[in-house]
Amino acid sequence: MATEIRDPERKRGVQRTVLWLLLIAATFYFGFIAMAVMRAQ
Amino acid sequence: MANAHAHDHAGAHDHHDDHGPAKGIGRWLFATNHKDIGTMYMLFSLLMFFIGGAMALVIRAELFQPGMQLVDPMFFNQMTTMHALIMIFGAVMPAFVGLANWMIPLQVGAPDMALPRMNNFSFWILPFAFTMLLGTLFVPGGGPAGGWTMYPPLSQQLGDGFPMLIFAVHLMGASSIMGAINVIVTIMNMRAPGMSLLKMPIFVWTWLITAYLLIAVMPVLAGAVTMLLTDHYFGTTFFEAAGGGDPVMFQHIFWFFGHPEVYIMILPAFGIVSEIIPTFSRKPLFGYDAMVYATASIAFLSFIVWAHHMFTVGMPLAGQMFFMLATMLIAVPTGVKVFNWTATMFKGSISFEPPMLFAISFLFLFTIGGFSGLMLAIVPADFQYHDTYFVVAHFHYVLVPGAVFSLMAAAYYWLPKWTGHMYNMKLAKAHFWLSTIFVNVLFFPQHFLGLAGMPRRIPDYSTQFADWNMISSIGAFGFGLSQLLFAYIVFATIRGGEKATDKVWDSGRPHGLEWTLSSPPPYHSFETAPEVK
Repeated sequence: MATEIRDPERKRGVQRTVLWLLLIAATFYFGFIAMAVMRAQ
Repeated sequence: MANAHAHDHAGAHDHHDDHGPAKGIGRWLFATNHKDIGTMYMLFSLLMFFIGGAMALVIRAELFQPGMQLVDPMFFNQMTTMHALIMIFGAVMPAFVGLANWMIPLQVGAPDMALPRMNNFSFWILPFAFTMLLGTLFVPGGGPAGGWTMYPPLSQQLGDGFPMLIFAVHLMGASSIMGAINVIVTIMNMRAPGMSLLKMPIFVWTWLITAYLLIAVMPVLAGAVTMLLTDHYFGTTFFEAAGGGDPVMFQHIFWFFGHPEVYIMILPAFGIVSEIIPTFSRKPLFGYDAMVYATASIAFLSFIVWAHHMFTVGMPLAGQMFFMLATMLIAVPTGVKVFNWTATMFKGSISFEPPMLFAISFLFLFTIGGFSGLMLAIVPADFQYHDTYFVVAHFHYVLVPGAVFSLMAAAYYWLPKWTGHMYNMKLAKAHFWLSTIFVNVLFFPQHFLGLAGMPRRIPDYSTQFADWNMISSIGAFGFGLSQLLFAYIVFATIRGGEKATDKVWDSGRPHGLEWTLSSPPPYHSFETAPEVK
Protein backbone atom coordinates (compact mmCIF):
# COMPACT_ATOMS: atom_id res chain seq x y z
CA MET A 1 0.00 0.00 0.00
CA ALA A 2 1.28 3.43 -0.85
CA THR A 3 2.44 5.67 1.97
CA GLU A 4 -0.29 8.30 2.34
CA ILE A 5 0.41 11.90 3.29
CA ARG A 6 -1.83 12.55 6.27
CA ASP A 7 -0.91 16.15 7.11
CA PRO A 8 -3.41 18.32 5.15
CA GLU A 9 -1.01 21.25 4.87
CA ARG A 10 1.71 19.06 3.43
CA LYS A 11 -0.82 17.51 1.05
CA ARG A 12 -1.83 20.98 -0.19
CA GLY A 13 1.86 21.82 -0.65
CA VAL A 14 2.35 18.70 -2.74
CA GLN A 15 -0.67 19.48 -4.90
CA ARG A 16 0.42 23.09 -5.40
CA THR A 17 3.94 22.06 -6.41
CA VAL A 18 2.64 19.43 -8.85
CA LEU A 19 0.33 21.96 -10.49
CA TRP A 20 3.12 24.50 -10.91
CA LEU A 21 5.44 21.92 -12.41
CA LEU A 22 2.79 20.66 -14.82
CA LEU A 23 2.15 24.25 -15.85
CA ILE A 24 5.87 24.79 -16.54
CA ALA A 25 6.10 21.57 -18.56
CA ALA A 26 2.98 22.40 -20.59
CA THR A 27 4.28 25.93 -21.24
CA PHE A 28 7.52 24.60 -22.68
CA TYR A 29 5.70 21.97 -24.79
CA PHE A 30 3.03 24.23 -26.28
CA GLY A 31 5.30 27.29 -26.25
CA PHE A 32 7.87 25.71 -28.53
CA ILE A 33 5.19 24.36 -30.88
CA ALA A 34 3.56 27.83 -30.94
CA MET A 35 6.91 29.44 -31.77
CA ALA A 36 7.39 26.98 -34.63
CA VAL A 37 3.88 27.72 -35.92
CA MET A 38 4.51 31.47 -35.83
CA ARG A 39 7.84 31.05 -37.60
CA ALA A 40 6.20 28.93 -40.31
CA GLN A 41 3.75 31.72 -41.06
CA MET B 1 25.07 19.78 6.20
CA ALA B 2 22.57 18.13 8.41
CA ASN B 3 23.40 16.53 11.71
CA ALA B 4 20.96 13.71 12.00
CA HIS B 5 19.53 11.81 14.89
CA ALA B 6 17.17 9.12 13.79
CA HIS B 7 15.68 6.28 15.72
CA ASP B 8 13.97 4.91 12.73
CA HIS B 9 14.41 1.21 12.45
CA ALA B 10 12.79 0.80 15.79
CA GLY B 11 10.23 3.54 15.08
CA ALA B 12 9.25 2.09 11.71
CA HIS B 13 7.47 -0.75 13.45
CA ASP B 14 5.44 1.48 15.71
CA HIS B 15 2.84 2.04 13.01
CA HIS B 16 0.11 -0.50 13.19
CA ASP B 17 -0.37 -0.57 9.41
CA ASP B 18 3.30 -1.31 8.87
CA HIS B 19 3.85 -4.32 6.68
CA GLY B 20 6.54 -5.91 4.60
CA PRO B 21 6.62 -6.25 0.84
CA ALA B 22 3.77 -7.99 -1.02
CA LYS B 23 4.39 -11.53 -2.17
CA GLY B 24 5.14 -12.61 -5.74
CA ILE B 25 5.10 -10.61 -8.92
CA GLY B 26 2.49 -8.23 -7.47
CA ARG B 27 5.21 -6.67 -5.32
CA TRP B 28 6.87 -5.37 -8.48
CA LEU B 29 3.87 -4.75 -10.76
CA PHE B 30 1.99 -2.68 -8.20
CA ALA B 31 5.04 -1.36 -6.39
CA THR B 32 4.64 1.98 -4.66
CA ASN B 33 7.60 1.62 -2.30
CA HIS B 34 10.46 3.89 -3.31
CA LYS B 35 13.04 1.17 -2.61
CA ASP B 36 11.29 -1.38 -4.84
CA ILE B 37 10.82 1.14 -7.62
CA GLY B 38 14.42 2.31 -7.29
CA THR B 39 15.59 -1.30 -7.57
CA MET B 40 13.45 -1.87 -10.67
CA TYR B 41 14.80 1.29 -12.32
CA MET B 42 18.37 0.21 -11.70
CA LEU B 43 17.90 -3.37 -12.86
CA PHE B 44 16.12 -2.10 -15.97
CA SER B 45 18.98 0.28 -16.60
CA LEU B 46 21.52 -2.55 -16.19
CA LEU B 47 19.64 -4.60 -18.79
CA MET B 48 19.57 -1.63 -21.18
CA PHE B 49 23.27 -1.03 -20.51
CA PHE B 50 24.02 -4.54 -21.77
CA ILE B 51 21.69 -4.25 -24.79
CA GLY B 52 23.15 -0.86 -25.75
CA GLY B 53 26.61 -2.24 -25.04
CA ALA B 54 26.04 -5.20 -27.35
CA MET B 55 25.13 -2.70 -30.09
CA ALA B 56 28.35 -0.79 -29.38
CA LEU B 57 30.28 -4.04 -29.79
CA VAL B 58 28.62 -4.62 -33.18
CA ILE B 59 29.86 -1.16 -34.16
CA ARG B 60 33.38 -1.75 -32.85
CA ALA B 61 33.56 -5.24 -34.39
CA GLU B 62 32.73 -3.77 -37.80
CA LEU B 63 35.32 -1.03 -37.30
CA PHE B 64 38.02 -3.46 -36.13
CA GLN B 65 39.43 -3.42 -39.65
CA PRO B 66 38.85 -1.22 -42.70
CA GLY B 67 36.43 -2.60 -45.27
CA MET B 68 32.97 -4.04 -44.82
CA GLN B 69 33.16 -7.15 -42.65
CA LEU B 70 30.16 -8.09 -40.60
CA VAL B 71 27.06 -5.96 -41.15
CA ASP B 72 25.60 -3.97 -44.00
CA PRO B 73 25.85 -0.16 -43.80
CA MET B 74 22.14 0.33 -43.14
CA PHE B 75 22.25 -1.97 -40.13
CA PHE B 76 25.43 -0.26 -38.93
CA ASN B 77 23.61 3.07 -38.98
CA GLN B 78 20.72 1.54 -37.06
CA MET B 79 23.18 0.31 -34.45
CA THR B 80 24.79 3.73 -33.94
CA THR B 81 21.38 5.39 -33.58
CA MET B 82 19.85 2.75 -31.33
CA HIS B 83 23.00 2.49 -29.19
CA ALA B 84 22.73 6.21 -28.40
CA LEU B 85 18.98 6.21 -27.75
CA ILE B 86 19.19 3.16 -25.50
CA MET B 87 22.24 4.30 -23.55
CA ILE B 88 20.92 7.83 -22.97
CA PHE B 89 17.23 7.21 -22.32
CA GLY B 90 17.33 3.56 -21.24
CA ALA B 91 20.56 3.15 -19.31
CA VAL B 92 22.00 6.38 -17.88
CA MET B 93 18.82 8.35 -17.15
CA PRO B 94 16.86 5.49 -15.52
CA ALA B 95 19.91 4.55 -13.45
CA PHE B 96 20.02 8.05 -11.98
CA VAL B 97 16.24 8.03 -11.45
CA GLY B 98 16.65 4.70 -9.67
CA LEU B 99 19.30 6.20 -7.41
CA ALA B 100 17.02 9.19 -6.78
CA ASN B 101 14.21 6.84 -5.80
CA TRP B 102 16.35 4.88 -3.40
CA MET B 103 18.35 7.71 -1.89
CA ILE B 104 16.32 10.93 -1.86
CA PRO B 105 13.67 9.77 0.66
CA LEU B 106 16.43 8.24 2.79
CA GLN B 107 18.57 11.36 2.61
CA VAL B 108 15.81 13.88 3.34
CA GLY B 109 14.16 11.73 6.01
CA ALA B 110 10.90 11.13 4.10
CA PRO B 111 8.87 7.91 4.37
CA ASP B 112 8.62 7.58 0.59
CA MET B 113 8.43 9.63 -2.58
CA ALA B 114 5.59 12.16 -2.45
CA LEU B 115 3.65 10.55 -5.32
CA PRO B 116 4.17 6.80 -5.04
CA ARG B 117 1.51 5.70 -7.53
CA MET B 118 2.80 8.06 -10.20
CA ASN B 119 6.24 6.67 -9.38
CA ASN B 120 5.01 3.19 -10.33
CA PHE B 121 3.52 4.54 -13.54
CA SER B 122 6.64 6.42 -14.55
CA PHE B 123 8.70 3.25 -14.20
CA TRP B 124 6.33 0.84 -15.92
CA ILE B 125 6.05 3.09 -18.98
CA LEU B 126 9.70 2.41 -19.72
CA PRO B 127 9.61 -1.33 -20.60
CA PHE B 128 6.82 -0.56 -23.08
CA ALA B 129 8.73 2.37 -24.57
CA PHE B 130 11.91 0.37 -25.07
CA THR B 131 10.14 -2.75 -26.34
CA MET B 132 8.57 -0.51 -28.95
CA LEU B 133 11.89 1.17 -29.74
CA LEU B 134 13.68 -2.17 -30.10
CA GLY B 135 10.69 -3.45 -32.09
CA THR B 136 11.55 -0.97 -34.86
CA LEU B 137 14.45 -3.27 -35.77
CA PHE B 138 11.95 -5.91 -36.88
CA VAL B 139 9.51 -3.88 -39.01
CA PRO B 140 9.82 -2.98 -42.72
CA GLY B 141 12.37 -0.22 -43.11
CA GLY B 142 14.21 -1.26 -39.95
CA GLY B 143 15.10 0.85 -36.94
CA PRO B 144 15.97 4.55 -36.84
CA ALA B 145 19.28 5.06 -38.65
CA GLY B 146 19.63 8.83 -38.96
CA GLY B 147 21.33 9.44 -35.62
CA TRP B 148 19.80 9.88 -32.15
CA THR B 149 19.24 13.55 -32.99
CA MET B 150 16.49 12.54 -35.45
CA TYR B 151 17.31 15.42 -37.81
CA PRO B 152 14.81 15.86 -40.63
CA PRO B 153 14.63 15.25 -43.53
CA LEU B 154 16.70 12.07 -42.89
CA SER B 155 14.54 10.88 -39.99
CA GLN B 156 11.44 11.28 -42.16
CA GLN B 157 12.78 8.57 -44.46
CA LEU B 158 12.41 5.91 -41.78
CA GLY B 159 9.90 3.17 -42.70
CA ASP B 160 7.22 1.64 -40.51
CA GLY B 161 9.40 2.22 -37.47
CA PHE B 162 8.80 6.00 -37.62
CA PRO B 163 5.60 6.20 -35.54
CA MET B 164 7.03 3.63 -33.14
CA LEU B 165 10.14 5.77 -32.63
CA ILE B 166 8.08 8.92 -32.08
CA PHE B 167 5.72 7.20 -29.64
CA ALA B 168 8.63 5.63 -27.76
CA VAL B 169 10.33 9.02 -27.40
CA HIS B 170 7.07 10.55 -26.14
CA LEU B 171 6.74 7.77 -23.56
CA MET B 172 10.34 8.18 -22.38
CA GLY B 173 9.72 11.92 -22.07
CA ALA B 174 6.50 11.41 -20.10
CA SER B 175 8.29 8.99 -17.79
CA SER B 176 11.13 11.43 -17.21
CA ILE B 177 8.77 14.35 -16.55
CA MET B 178 6.77 12.33 -14.03
CA GLY B 179 9.98 11.17 -12.36
CA ALA B 180 11.22 14.77 -12.18
CA ILE B 181 7.93 16.04 -10.72
CA ASN B 182 8.15 13.36 -8.07
CA VAL B 183 11.72 14.31 -7.17
CA ILE B 184 10.95 18.04 -6.87
CA VAL B 185 7.73 17.52 -4.94
CA THR B 186 9.44 15.13 -2.54
CA ILE B 187 12.38 17.43 -1.90
CA MET B 188 10.28 20.58 -1.56
CA ASN B 189 7.55 19.07 0.64
CA MET B 190 8.81 15.96 2.41
CA ARG B 191 12.07 17.00 4.06
CA ALA B 192 12.49 16.16 7.72
CA PRO B 193 11.86 19.07 10.10
CA GLY B 194 15.00 21.13 10.48
CA MET B 195 16.45 20.19 7.11
CA SER B 196 16.70 23.56 5.38
CA LEU B 197 17.69 23.67 1.72
CA LEU B 198 21.32 24.40 2.53
CA LYS B 199 21.45 21.45 4.91
CA MET B 200 20.43 18.95 2.23
CA PRO B 201 22.96 16.35 1.11
CA ILE B 202 24.69 17.45 -2.07
CA PHE B 203 23.28 14.48 -4.04
CA VAL B 204 19.78 15.75 -3.24
CA TRP B 205 20.75 19.24 -4.38
CA THR B 206 22.14 18.05 -7.68
CA TRP B 207 19.00 15.98 -8.30
CA LEU B 208 16.72 18.92 -7.45
CA ILE B 209 18.46 21.04 -10.08
CA THR B 210 18.49 18.14 -12.56
CA ALA B 211 14.75 17.64 -12.07
CA TYR B 212 14.08 21.28 -12.94
CA LEU B 213 16.17 20.83 -16.09
CA LEU B 214 14.08 17.79 -16.98
CA ILE B 215 10.80 19.66 -16.46
CA ALA B 216 12.01 22.42 -18.77
CA VAL B 217 13.54 20.44 -21.61
CA MET B 218 11.79 17.09 -21.94
CA PRO B 219 8.61 18.87 -23.14
CA VAL B 220 10.74 20.64 -25.76
CA LEU B 221 11.92 17.28 -27.11
CA ALA B 222 8.31 16.08 -27.04
CA GLY B 223 7.26 19.20 -28.98
CA ALA B 224 9.99 18.62 -31.57
CA VAL B 225 9.03 15.00 -32.20
CA THR B 226 5.33 15.89 -32.22
CA MET B 227 6.10 18.29 -35.07
CA LEU B 228 8.10 15.55 -36.84
CA LEU B 229 5.01 13.39 -36.55
CA THR B 230 2.64 16.02 -37.93
CA ASP B 231 5.07 16.71 -40.79
CA HIS B 232 5.05 13.00 -41.58
CA TYR B 233 1.34 12.24 -41.36
CA PHE B 234 -0.73 15.42 -41.18
CA GLY B 235 0.64 17.58 -43.98
CA THR B 236 2.39 20.23 -41.89
CA THR B 237 5.76 21.51 -43.07
CA PHE B 238 7.46 22.72 -39.90
CA PHE B 239 10.79 21.30 -41.00
CA GLU B 240 10.23 20.70 -44.70
CA ALA B 241 11.90 23.25 -46.95
CA ALA B 242 9.63 22.35 -49.89
CA GLY B 243 6.61 23.56 -47.93
CA GLY B 244 8.28 26.70 -46.58
CA GLY B 245 9.54 25.02 -43.42
CA ASP B 246 13.04 25.03 -42.02
CA PRO B 247 15.00 21.87 -41.16
CA VAL B 248 17.53 23.97 -39.25
CA MET B 249 14.76 25.04 -36.87
CA PHE B 250 14.51 21.40 -35.78
CA GLN B 251 18.20 21.46 -34.90
CA HIS B 252 17.75 24.59 -32.76
CA ILE B 253 14.77 23.09 -30.95
CA PHE B 254 16.46 19.71 -30.56
CA TRP B 255 19.65 21.15 -29.07
CA PHE B 256 17.70 23.44 -26.76
CA PHE B 257 16.71 20.10 -25.26
CA GLY B 258 19.92 18.25 -26.10
CA HIS B 259 22.48 20.36 -24.34
CA PRO B 260 20.71 20.53 -20.97
CA GLU B 261 20.22 16.78 -21.46
CA VAL B 262 23.99 16.39 -21.20
CA TYR B 263 23.86 18.08 -17.80
CA ILE B 264 20.88 15.96 -16.79
CA MET B 265 23.23 13.03 -17.19
CA ILE B 266 26.17 14.59 -15.36
CA LEU B 267 24.83 16.77 -12.50
CA PRO B 268 23.65 13.76 -10.41
CA ALA B 269 27.09 12.24 -11.10
CA PHE B 270 28.62 15.37 -9.51
CA GLY B 271 26.35 14.77 -6.53
CA ILE B 272 27.48 11.16 -6.15
CA VAL B 273 31.16 12.05 -6.34
CA SER B 274 30.58 14.85 -3.83
CA GLU B 275 29.15 12.29 -1.40
CA ILE B 276 31.91 9.72 -1.85
CA ILE B 277 35.07 11.84 -1.81
CA PRO B 278 34.47 13.31 1.69
CA THR B 279 33.74 9.85 3.16
CA PHE B 280 36.95 8.29 1.92
CA SER B 281 39.03 11.43 2.53
CA ARG B 282 37.67 11.56 6.08
CA LYS B 283 36.99 15.28 5.73
CA PRO B 284 33.83 17.31 5.14
CA LEU B 285 33.16 18.42 1.58
CA PHE B 286 35.18 21.54 0.82
CA GLY B 287 32.95 24.47 -0.21
CA TYR B 288 29.46 22.96 0.13
CA ASP B 289 27.70 26.25 -0.69
CA ALA B 290 29.99 26.87 -3.66
CA MET B 291 29.15 23.38 -4.95
CA VAL B 292 25.43 24.17 -4.81
CA TYR B 293 25.83 27.50 -6.58
CA ALA B 294 28.18 25.98 -9.17
CA THR B 295 25.60 23.29 -9.94
CA ALA B 296 22.88 25.90 -10.35
CA SER B 297 25.18 28.03 -12.57
CA ILE B 298 25.96 25.06 -14.82
CA ALA B 299 22.22 24.35 -15.12
CA PHE B 300 21.49 27.99 -16.04
CA LEU B 301 24.31 28.16 -18.58
CA SER B 302 23.17 24.90 -20.18
CA PHE B 303 20.15 26.78 -21.57
CA ILE B 304 22.18 29.35 -23.48
CA VAL B 305 24.79 27.26 -25.27
CA TRP B 306 22.75 24.96 -27.52
CA ALA B 307 23.96 26.34 -30.85
CA HIS B 308 27.57 25.23 -30.22
CA HIS B 309 26.36 21.91 -31.65
CA MET B 310 25.52 23.74 -34.86
CA PHE B 311 28.47 26.01 -35.65
CA THR B 312 28.99 24.37 -39.03
CA VAL B 313 25.32 24.80 -39.97
CA GLY B 314 25.97 28.51 -40.34
CA MET B 315 25.03 31.45 -38.16
CA PRO B 316 25.96 35.13 -37.84
CA LEU B 317 29.39 35.90 -36.42
CA ALA B 318 27.78 37.47 -33.34
CA GLY B 319 25.91 34.22 -32.75
CA GLN B 320 29.09 32.20 -33.06
CA MET B 321 30.87 34.48 -30.59
CA PHE B 322 28.01 34.39 -28.11
CA PHE B 323 27.66 30.62 -28.10
CA MET B 324 31.41 30.07 -28.03
CA LEU B 325 31.97 32.36 -25.04
CA ALA B 326 28.88 31.14 -23.17
CA THR B 327 30.10 27.57 -23.61
CA MET B 328 33.55 28.44 -22.34
CA LEU B 329 31.94 30.09 -19.33
CA ILE B 330 30.72 26.66 -18.17
CA ALA B 331 34.34 25.79 -17.44
CA VAL B 332 34.23 28.25 -14.52
CA PRO B 333 31.62 26.54 -12.27
CA THR B 334 32.92 23.14 -13.43
CA GLY B 335 36.41 24.23 -12.40
CA VAL B 336 35.01 25.26 -9.01
CA LYS B 337 33.75 21.71 -8.57
CA VAL B 338 36.99 20.04 -9.62
CA PHE B 339 38.89 22.40 -7.31
CA ASN B 340 36.57 21.62 -4.39
CA TRP B 341 36.88 17.85 -4.85
CA THR B 342 40.66 18.18 -4.97
CA ALA B 343 40.63 20.46 -1.92
CA THR B 344 38.46 17.93 -0.08
CA MET B 345 41.08 15.26 -0.68
CA PHE B 346 43.98 17.61 0.17
CA LYS B 347 45.57 16.50 3.46
CA GLY B 348 42.76 14.00 3.90
CA SER B 349 43.30 10.53 5.29
CA ILE B 350 42.43 8.90 1.98
CA SER B 351 41.63 5.23 1.53
CA PHE B 352 40.99 3.57 -1.80
CA GLU B 353 37.88 1.44 -1.55
CA PRO B 354 36.06 0.76 -4.85
CA PRO B 355 33.67 3.77 -4.64
CA MET B 356 36.63 6.10 -4.06
CA LEU B 357 38.64 4.51 -6.87
CA PHE B 358 35.78 5.14 -9.28
CA ALA B 359 35.30 8.68 -7.92
CA ILE B 360 38.99 9.54 -8.43
CA SER B 361 38.94 7.98 -11.88
CA PHE B 362 35.84 10.08 -12.61
CA LEU B 363 37.69 13.20 -11.50
CA PHE B 364 40.59 12.67 -13.92
CA LEU B 365 38.75 11.21 -16.89
CA PHE B 366 35.68 13.45 -16.78
CA THR B 367 38.09 16.38 -16.76
CA ILE B 368 39.63 15.07 -20.00
CA GLY B 369 36.10 15.07 -21.49
CA GLY B 370 35.60 18.59 -20.18
CA PHE B 371 38.83 19.83 -21.76
CA SER B 372 38.01 18.33 -25.16
CA GLY B 373 34.60 20.01 -24.83
CA LEU B 374 36.39 23.32 -24.35
CA MET B 375 38.37 22.63 -27.54
CA LEU B 376 35.13 21.94 -29.41
CA ALA B 377 33.65 25.20 -28.14
CA ILE B 378 36.21 27.19 -30.14
CA VAL B 379 34.43 27.99 -33.40
CA PRO B 380 37.31 27.73 -35.89
CA ALA B 381 38.58 24.55 -34.21
CA ASP B 382 35.07 23.10 -34.22
CA PHE B 383 34.95 23.58 -38.00
CA GLN B 384 37.78 21.05 -38.13
CA TYR B 385 36.58 18.67 -35.41
CA HIS B 386 32.87 18.66 -36.24
CA ASP B 387 31.45 15.23 -37.11
CA THR B 388 34.80 13.53 -36.56
CA TYR B 389 35.79 10.87 -34.04
CA PHE B 390 37.15 13.67 -31.84
CA VAL B 391 33.54 14.49 -30.96
CA VAL B 392 32.85 10.79 -30.29
CA ALA B 393 35.88 10.64 -27.98
CA HIS B 394 34.78 13.84 -26.20
CA PHE B 395 31.25 12.85 -25.34
CA HIS B 396 32.17 9.30 -24.47
CA TYR B 397 34.73 10.58 -21.97
CA VAL B 398 31.96 12.68 -20.43
CA LEU B 399 29.42 9.88 -20.42
CA VAL B 400 31.37 6.69 -19.72
CA PRO B 401 34.18 7.48 -17.27
CA GLY B 402 31.97 10.43 -16.31
CA ALA B 403 28.34 9.43 -15.84
CA VAL B 404 28.71 5.63 -15.95
CA PHE B 405 31.71 5.55 -13.59
CA SER B 406 29.76 7.70 -11.13
CA LEU B 407 26.94 5.16 -11.31
CA MET B 408 29.37 2.36 -10.55
CA ALA B 409 30.83 4.41 -7.70
CA ALA B 410 27.29 4.90 -6.37
CA ALA B 411 26.52 1.19 -6.67
CA TYR B 412 29.68 0.27 -4.75
CA TYR B 413 28.99 2.99 -2.17
CA TRP B 414 25.36 2.24 -1.39
CA LEU B 415 24.95 -1.44 -2.43
CA PRO B 416 25.87 -2.70 1.08
CA LYS B 417 23.31 -0.28 2.52
CA TRP B 418 20.61 -1.51 0.10
CA THR B 419 21.28 -5.23 0.42
CA GLY B 420 22.77 -5.51 3.90
CA HIS B 421 25.70 -7.42 2.39
CA MET B 422 29.28 -6.45 1.70
CA TYR B 423 30.59 -7.28 -1.74
CA ASN B 424 33.86 -8.95 -2.63
CA MET B 425 36.39 -6.06 -2.45
CA LYS B 426 39.03 -7.83 -4.53
CA LEU B 427 36.61 -8.47 -7.37
CA ALA B 428 35.30 -4.90 -7.20
CA LYS B 429 38.84 -3.52 -7.38
CA ALA B 430 39.58 -5.85 -10.29
CA HIS B 431 36.45 -4.49 -11.98
CA PHE B 432 37.68 -0.96 -11.37
CA TRP B 433 41.14 -1.53 -12.86
CA LEU B 434 39.82 -3.43 -15.87
CA SER B 435 37.21 -0.73 -16.53
CA THR B 436 39.64 2.16 -16.13
CA ILE B 437 42.32 0.63 -18.34
CA PHE B 438 39.98 -0.54 -21.08
CA VAL B 439 37.88 2.63 -21.15
CA ASN B 440 41.05 4.57 -22.01
CA VAL B 441 42.17 1.99 -24.57
CA LEU B 442 38.69 2.30 -26.07
CA PHE B 443 38.20 6.04 -26.20
CA PHE B 444 41.59 7.78 -26.05
CA PRO B 445 42.68 6.67 -29.56
CA GLN B 446 39.45 8.13 -30.92
CA HIS B 447 40.89 11.61 -30.22
CA PHE B 448 43.75 10.81 -32.61
CA LEU B 449 41.37 9.37 -35.21
CA GLY B 450 39.23 12.50 -35.07
CA LEU B 451 42.17 14.88 -35.29
CA ALA B 452 43.42 12.90 -38.28
CA GLY B 453 40.05 13.45 -39.94
CA MET B 454 38.12 10.21 -39.53
CA PRO B 455 34.40 11.01 -39.79
CA ARG B 456 31.93 9.58 -37.28
CA ARG B 457 28.96 7.31 -38.12
CA ILE B 458 30.69 5.43 -40.95
CA PRO B 459 31.04 1.62 -41.27
CA ASP B 460 34.20 1.75 -43.41
CA TYR B 461 37.26 4.01 -43.41
CA SER B 462 40.54 4.77 -45.06
CA THR B 463 43.43 2.41 -44.21
CA GLN B 464 45.39 5.21 -42.54
CA PHE B 465 42.98 4.92 -39.57
CA ALA B 466 43.35 1.14 -39.22
CA ASP B 467 45.76 0.89 -36.26
CA TRP B 468 43.96 3.14 -33.79
CA ASN B 469 40.60 1.62 -34.77
CA MET B 470 41.90 -1.84 -33.99
CA ILE B 471 43.18 -0.69 -30.59
CA SER B 472 39.90 1.08 -29.87
CA SER B 473 37.94 -2.08 -30.72
CA ILE B 474 40.14 -4.21 -28.45
CA GLY B 475 39.42 -1.70 -25.67
CA ALA B 476 35.70 -1.93 -26.40
CA PHE B 477 35.61 -5.70 -26.06
CA GLY B 478 37.76 -5.55 -22.92
CA PHE B 479 35.50 -2.90 -21.39
CA GLY B 480 32.32 -4.78 -22.35
CA LEU B 481 33.52 -8.07 -20.91
CA SER B 482 34.66 -6.34 -17.70
CA GLN B 483 31.09 -5.23 -17.09
CA LEU B 484 30.00 -8.87 -16.80
CA LEU B 485 32.11 -8.85 -13.64
CA PHE B 486 30.13 -5.85 -12.40
CA ALA B 487 26.83 -7.67 -13.01
CA TYR B 488 28.20 -10.73 -11.18
CA ILE B 489 29.30 -8.63 -8.19
CA VAL B 490 25.89 -6.91 -7.97
CA PHE B 491 23.86 -10.13 -8.12
CA ALA B 492 26.21 -12.00 -5.78
CA THR B 493 25.84 -9.16 -3.26
CA ILE B 494 22.05 -9.22 -3.54
CA ARG B 495 22.10 -12.98 -2.88
CA GLY B 496 24.36 -12.88 0.17
CA GLY B 497 27.74 -12.10 1.60
CA GLU B 498 29.36 -10.75 4.70
CA LYS B 499 26.93 -8.69 6.80
CA ALA B 500 27.30 -4.93 6.31
CA THR B 501 27.18 -2.64 9.33
CA ASP B 502 24.67 0.21 9.54
CA LYS B 503 27.27 2.81 8.64
CA VAL B 504 28.92 0.44 6.13
CA TRP B 505 32.04 2.64 5.80
CA ASP B 506 32.64 2.95 9.53
CA SER B 507 36.16 4.32 9.35
CA GLY B 508 35.02 7.07 6.99
CA ARG B 509 32.12 8.05 9.26
CA PRO B 510 29.83 8.75 6.30
CA HIS B 511 27.48 11.65 6.77
CA GLY B 512 23.73 11.71 6.18
CA LEU B 513 20.42 10.30 7.33
CA GLU B 514 20.69 7.11 5.26
CA TRP B 515 23.51 5.89 7.49
CA THR B 516 21.33 6.17 10.60
CA LEU B 517 19.18 3.31 9.28
CA SER B 518 19.93 -0.39 9.42
CA SER B 519 21.56 -2.20 6.49
CA PRO B 520 19.34 -3.05 4.68
CA PRO B 521 16.94 -0.31 5.75
CA PRO B 522 13.44 -1.34 6.87
CA TYR B 523 10.89 -1.66 4.06
CA HIS B 524 9.12 1.42 5.46
CA SER B 525 11.66 3.89 6.74
CA PHE B 526 11.28 7.29 8.44
CA GLU B 527 7.59 6.88 9.17
CA THR B 528 8.44 9.00 12.16
CA ALA B 529 10.35 12.01 10.89
CA PRO B 530 13.94 12.14 12.18
CA GLU B 531 15.32 15.18 13.95
CA VAL B 532 17.77 17.25 11.95
CA LYS B 533 19.91 19.76 13.81
